[in-house]
Amino acid sequence: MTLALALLPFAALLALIAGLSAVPFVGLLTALSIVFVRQGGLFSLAWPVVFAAVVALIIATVPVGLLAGYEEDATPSRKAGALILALLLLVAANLTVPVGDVSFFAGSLPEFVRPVSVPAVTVALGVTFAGLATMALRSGIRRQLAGVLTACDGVLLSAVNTPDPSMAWLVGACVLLVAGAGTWLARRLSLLRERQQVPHSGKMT
Amino acid sequence: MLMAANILLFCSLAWPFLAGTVVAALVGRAGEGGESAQRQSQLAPNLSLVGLVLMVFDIPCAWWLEIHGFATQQGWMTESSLAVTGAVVLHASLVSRCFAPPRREDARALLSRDAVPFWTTGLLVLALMLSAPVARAAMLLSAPVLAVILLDTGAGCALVGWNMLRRNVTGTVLALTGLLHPNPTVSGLLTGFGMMLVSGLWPACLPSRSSPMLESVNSGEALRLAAAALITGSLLTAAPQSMEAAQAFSFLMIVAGFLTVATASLRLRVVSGEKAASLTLVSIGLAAIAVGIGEALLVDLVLFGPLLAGPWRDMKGRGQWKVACLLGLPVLGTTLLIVMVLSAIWPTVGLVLVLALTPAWKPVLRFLPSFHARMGSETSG
Repeated sequence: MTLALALLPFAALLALIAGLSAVPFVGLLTALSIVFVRQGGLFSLAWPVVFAAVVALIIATVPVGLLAGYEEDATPSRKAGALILALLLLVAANLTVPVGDVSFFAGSLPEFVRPVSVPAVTVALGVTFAGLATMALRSGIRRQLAGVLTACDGVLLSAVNTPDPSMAWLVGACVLLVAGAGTWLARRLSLLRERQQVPHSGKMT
Repeated sequence: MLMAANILLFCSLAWPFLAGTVVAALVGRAGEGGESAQRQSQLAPNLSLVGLVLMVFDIPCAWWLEIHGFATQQGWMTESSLAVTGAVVLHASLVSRCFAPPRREDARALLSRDAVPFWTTGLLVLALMLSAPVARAAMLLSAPVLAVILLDTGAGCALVGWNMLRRNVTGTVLALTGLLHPNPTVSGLLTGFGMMLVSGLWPACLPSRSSPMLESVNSGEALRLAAAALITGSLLTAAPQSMEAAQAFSFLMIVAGFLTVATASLRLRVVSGEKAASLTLVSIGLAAIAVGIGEALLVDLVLFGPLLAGPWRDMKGRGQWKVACLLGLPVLGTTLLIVMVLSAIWPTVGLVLVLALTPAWKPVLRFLPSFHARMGSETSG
């Protein structure tokens, strides 16, 4: 559990550097983290957790599989700026939760945002920020789509981390919608030459 | 009466989806005939009028429920009068959109032009009515996704759609993360940043190559989404979940609103064309300030003008005078009201708002009489 959670920000940074090919790794780690964060069992109904984990696996594998036949981005990769921004945001994400503060847990938090696992809050925020930095600063739709998917993973993790089970359903559906639309647009915008020497079949959609 | 109010609310929420489906079915069939297209073009305005009337009837129901102390929350929905007023404004923009003459790029896609605004308006109204803030933010994302998938199908539109989707996804993800975060101040800040991006406030309103916010192909959709996001923000500040989060959110909205107003008024002064777009940006910034100071009805008032005038912006002829009035007068009135409210709380901030709007006075005053003079010359000639 702790290992998956600890590796998750590094996987997100890897997705920032390597692009779409590292996204399945992020998705796998996110699914593992989702399952193990909720293993403590604050509520007995496990269906939202299963749904969130399945969504994390789906958005990590299906877009990568669908986009496998298309060309890589030819645009210049602005890697350094995105990496610096992501690292800064990771530090900022770690500063958002006062870890040693006991009154933070007993304080007057609204019931539905009280986190199940406190380390998962910063990890989810860091993964989301890394994805957003990728989305904002890298160029080329495949790299940006990798950022979108990473950010979606982070939001899924933070949704599962709240005690309200409806959040997982809502955010899971929202993430599926975004991943579907992003994949569709990426297929339209990618270079339509397929890697194998298949003659053009007029597939312009 | 309670039952009647519930039924009416359900009907008015379900109506846009139903009407959009009807329009899509009938107009799609009329595309082959071509002869009945003229008759079908009257269908969408009438259906949108029915939706507006249904929504207007919801306002007294919401008032009645609130006065008599009934629970306004049923399941996932909350029928507050503020949310219903915002929904009326969105429906009015839909009516204006349906009555407006088609733009040139719309002519080839009759289906999308007529049906998609119904569906997106329905989704945005649903976002206003939902009670959980996370559900609201998630529902705000569904409308642009639908618009991008259905509208940006033409050649060369996909990149614009992707950039718009990227901005909206960034904003919504930030807002969702903020709403789910346990630290109240961080929660308010992240939600504010997300709402700034979704509603096209300061960082998103800067002129950039990749994502021109108000000049994109489906700018009507973008404007309606921005209005819905701002109204949602005003609902969030009207019923805050924690005081600190609401304070951080309001602070960020006020700052973003000031920056937007200053940018847009400078643009009005420097850039000669696109006065209507810049004025729309001014009203969006004023709406953000109104969100920040917690005046939810002022948000509806200032967004009413650009939402009604938006589809008619490209119109030539004597109607432009009305467009200019619709764009200008709510801005003027809201500025006065905001300065009045602000000068009671912080007099300096009200002064700063007046200073930020100073570069805009001269171009706007020139904007109004130019149409007047042109109209006079047309009538005389």
